[in-house]
Amino acid sequence: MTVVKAENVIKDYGLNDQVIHALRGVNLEFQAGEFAAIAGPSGSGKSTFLHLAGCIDNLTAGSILVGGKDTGKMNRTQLAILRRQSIGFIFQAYNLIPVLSVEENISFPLTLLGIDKKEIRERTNQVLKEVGLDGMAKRRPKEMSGGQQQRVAIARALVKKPALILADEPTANLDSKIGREILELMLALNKSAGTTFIFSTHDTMVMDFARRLIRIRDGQIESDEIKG
Amino acid sequence: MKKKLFFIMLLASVASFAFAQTPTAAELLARVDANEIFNTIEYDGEMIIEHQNRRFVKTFRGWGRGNADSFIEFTNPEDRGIRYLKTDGRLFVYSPDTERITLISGHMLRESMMGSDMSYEDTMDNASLASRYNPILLGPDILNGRPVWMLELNAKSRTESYPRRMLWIDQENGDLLRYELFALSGAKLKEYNLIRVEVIDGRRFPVEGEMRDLLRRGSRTTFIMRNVVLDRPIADSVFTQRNLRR
Amino acid sequence: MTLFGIWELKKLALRNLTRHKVKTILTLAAIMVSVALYIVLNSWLGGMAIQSRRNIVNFEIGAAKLQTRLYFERKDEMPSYETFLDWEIFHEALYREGYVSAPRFVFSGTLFSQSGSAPILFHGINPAAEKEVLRYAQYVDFGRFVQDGNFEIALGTVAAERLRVGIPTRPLRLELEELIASVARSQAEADFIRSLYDITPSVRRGGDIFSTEERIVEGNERMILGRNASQADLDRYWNIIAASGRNDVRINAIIDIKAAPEMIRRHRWENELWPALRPEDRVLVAAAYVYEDFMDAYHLVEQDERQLNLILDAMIRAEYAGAIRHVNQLMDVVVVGVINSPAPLPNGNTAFIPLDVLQDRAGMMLEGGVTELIIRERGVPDSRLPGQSESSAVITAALELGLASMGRTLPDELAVFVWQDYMQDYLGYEALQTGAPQVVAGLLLFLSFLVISCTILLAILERTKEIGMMRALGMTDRQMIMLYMLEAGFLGFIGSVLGIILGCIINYPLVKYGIDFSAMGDLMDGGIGFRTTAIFRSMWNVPIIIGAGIAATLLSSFMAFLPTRRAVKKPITDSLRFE
Repeated sequence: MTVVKAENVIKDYGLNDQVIHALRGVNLEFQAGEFAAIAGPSGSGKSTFLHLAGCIDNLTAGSILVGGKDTGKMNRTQLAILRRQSIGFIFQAYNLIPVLSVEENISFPLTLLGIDKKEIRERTNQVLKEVGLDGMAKRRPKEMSGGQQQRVAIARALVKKPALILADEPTANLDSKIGREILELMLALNKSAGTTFIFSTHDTMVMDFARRLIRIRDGQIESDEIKG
Repeated sequence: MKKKLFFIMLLASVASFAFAQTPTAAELLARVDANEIFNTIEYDGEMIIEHQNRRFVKTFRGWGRGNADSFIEFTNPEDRGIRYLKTDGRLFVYSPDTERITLISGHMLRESMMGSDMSYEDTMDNASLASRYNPILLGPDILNGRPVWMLELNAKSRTESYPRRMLWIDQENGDLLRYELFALSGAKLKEYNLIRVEVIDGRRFPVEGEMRDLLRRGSRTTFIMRNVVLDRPIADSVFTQRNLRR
Repeated sequence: MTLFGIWELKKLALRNLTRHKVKTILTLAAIMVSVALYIVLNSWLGGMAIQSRRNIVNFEIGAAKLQTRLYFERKDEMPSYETFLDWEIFHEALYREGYVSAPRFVFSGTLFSQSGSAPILFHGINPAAEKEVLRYAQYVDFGRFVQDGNFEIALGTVAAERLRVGIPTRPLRLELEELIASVARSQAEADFIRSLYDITPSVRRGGDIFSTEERIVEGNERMILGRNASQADLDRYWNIIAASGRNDVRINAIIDIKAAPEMIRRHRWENELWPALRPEDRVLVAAAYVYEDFMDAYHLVEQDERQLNLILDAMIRAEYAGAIRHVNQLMDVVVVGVINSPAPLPNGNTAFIPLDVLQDRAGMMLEGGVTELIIRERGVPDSRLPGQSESSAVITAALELGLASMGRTLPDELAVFVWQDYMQDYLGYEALQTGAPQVVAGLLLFLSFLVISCTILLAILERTKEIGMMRALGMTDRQMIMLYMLEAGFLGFIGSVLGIILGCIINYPLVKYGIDFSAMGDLMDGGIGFRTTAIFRSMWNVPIIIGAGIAATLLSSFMAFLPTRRAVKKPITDSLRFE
């Protein structure tokens, strides 16, 4: 099943009276269960693509279908609902809510979905175990290490069982050991739950973990390689 | 025959003498009313107001047609241009400062005119006394060395402004030497004393008098008329509101 | 996600308040103070207004008046010619139906004392009936209240001071000596009077901001009647003054009498009367007069009393001056008491005189007529303002019922008017006096909302990235706006609750004990009255208290709308990149 389909995607930015062509006609498709990485140097457009696939930015031209739905034809509210239901995000800077506890951060997307409290509790506890943070439910983010916080972010992304998880430079703020642990975790979850993972990265370790590696430069796909 | 004639003449002279000695109240009052009758009058007037140790002199020019219509224009510097018109039983005042004509009516009528002892209402008093009062002759008296008749007037109507008046009438020349105005309760409100009379066109005319408002302690106003001209035609336009504003 | 779902986010909204405790406390303090201030000010002004209204009802007007309609139409002129008869019958009828009433004849005039004169509003009253309806008679500072059958008056304290009648409370020393010289019959009396006075406190203090140059001129200081003077001393003092004739005064008034003119000149008829008559009155007036050619005037031919009254009413409505005659009157009376009540009117240029002495030529020729009957429900407490049972309709119905039981009816020309009908000017003034400070308090409240707006603005700025993340997680714009409105609403709510508590704490003693301005009066050397009951109390205005809390909460919440709306318009990616 095609989770994301990008056709001739163009994205331009205006910056100080100049037009930056971030993406210049990108065509990509991602199937369910993929564990893919988009790699490229800074400014290559990898994060831009991720943002467009995650419906948190707008296309200049072309189309992106997420779960078969044309995101270009959806309004802001519809896009928000799509993100809420189908897309999980993992950010470089974790972006946890500091005043909520670990379990509250994780259950936040479920609250948005209007799921009842009992089920929220069950799923939250489950995913806490999955990310190895059992027993830390009541802690606040500031009481945790970077790696632990990123696990919370992963758990938050996973808890709603989305079809797609977009991870933008997830290991950039972590040391290699922790970064590896995180990647192993995500890979395991990819295998167990069948969730599609798309990374944007310039970390070689992430590239190594990915089963599909897409290289991008100056807004165009250089190569698209599926590893064995 | 001669005796009869003499006796008749004696009787007549006695009768006329008796008549002359004790007139009736009605006759006296009629004479007072008659003194007030003229067709027109023009004069230069002066009003000297003495009140609370201060003295004000106001001068004016006056015109009158009978007792019903009159027009006054003040000429002293402080009040120059203020004009009063009495006509049709109403009193109007014009002020040069506001350039407005105001009808003085209701309770305003009892206000003092220009700060004097005379109220606006007093100036409106024009209908004959005989038509409004029942006179009683109280008898002879002496006032300022003059023999006078004392006349008490009681209002015919309960709505008369001064329910009671007292008059002192000179026995010889019929001048109204003094009058007093009383409130309903009988308390005296005002006094008027004649100061001077002039003979104008063969008739005695009061030209100087003093009014005292007894509620204003120590206050009195002296009215003086000079250059009085009686019965000279005056244009009707003088007694109009238009003339106030000219 | 429904609104209920947003409520689930209340935890987040509440936790957000704890992010910057100092900022939150300062914001809460601003709301608390402005809400408290609004409540206290509103309650205080409300209390003053209620007290003033009570004073009007209990000391000046009563709950309602029975008057002729024409009097009411022209009440600002106080048309004393508009009287009605048989007040005793209406009084009895009302009493049968549970109302007390008192007859009055109100007229204006000038009062002359030995020292001068002053325009005064006179009230001819029935002392016994008056005390049933109004309370000012309980506040006789000196002397006593008036009694039937005597040519005497009770005078307001302001008029008494102005006319130098009765006991002076704050004379200059030389004035006091002059008084003593004129009233004291012996050295003992002179010494006694002197012993009742003291130099004013400010002079004793050596002068302060309340002193004036006038007061501290050596040998002519301002004296003040000692508050400790006993009633017996004051009575003796009063009697000494009365015996000297100082309290003997004269009333100069004009008796206005309706009287149809016997004759109206054609010129005045055509130019003055006819154009001013109401169309429905012209037939009536035209039928009453006949034109006589030789006099060029209209003569009165109507004789029927009732018709003449109608004609006079028509002429008065047409403002025809000839319909009212003015008779001069002068009455010698004695001032027997000085009124100093909590209400201004009885204390001012006002005098009360027994109605019975005004009936004939010695008085005002009333011949049984009165200008009004003031009415109050029997047994109603003074603290209660007139309600439905003292409305015009209810009193009228009761009056008609009472009259019917006596075999009589209410004449068409009479009607019942409630106290508010006479106090439009005062009520307008009250609205202004209470409205202006409330506007100020409201503005202060609004300023506190601006503080909230700034707080929220700052919070949004700080959480830009977090907002971007939450939107990325699927929060719609509306949900985001509502989240921050919830946060601001909580700020407003907590601040309001604290403000209500603070406001109630401050208001409680103001309600229970009030502020006694007579103490200030001592400071101002008795400048506000000798025995004035000058305690002003606040009130509990529960709707305002609750309303202020609700308004503060809602407005606080609303203050978050615009800043949040601006934030959600920002692209998510920009928000996520924000540092």
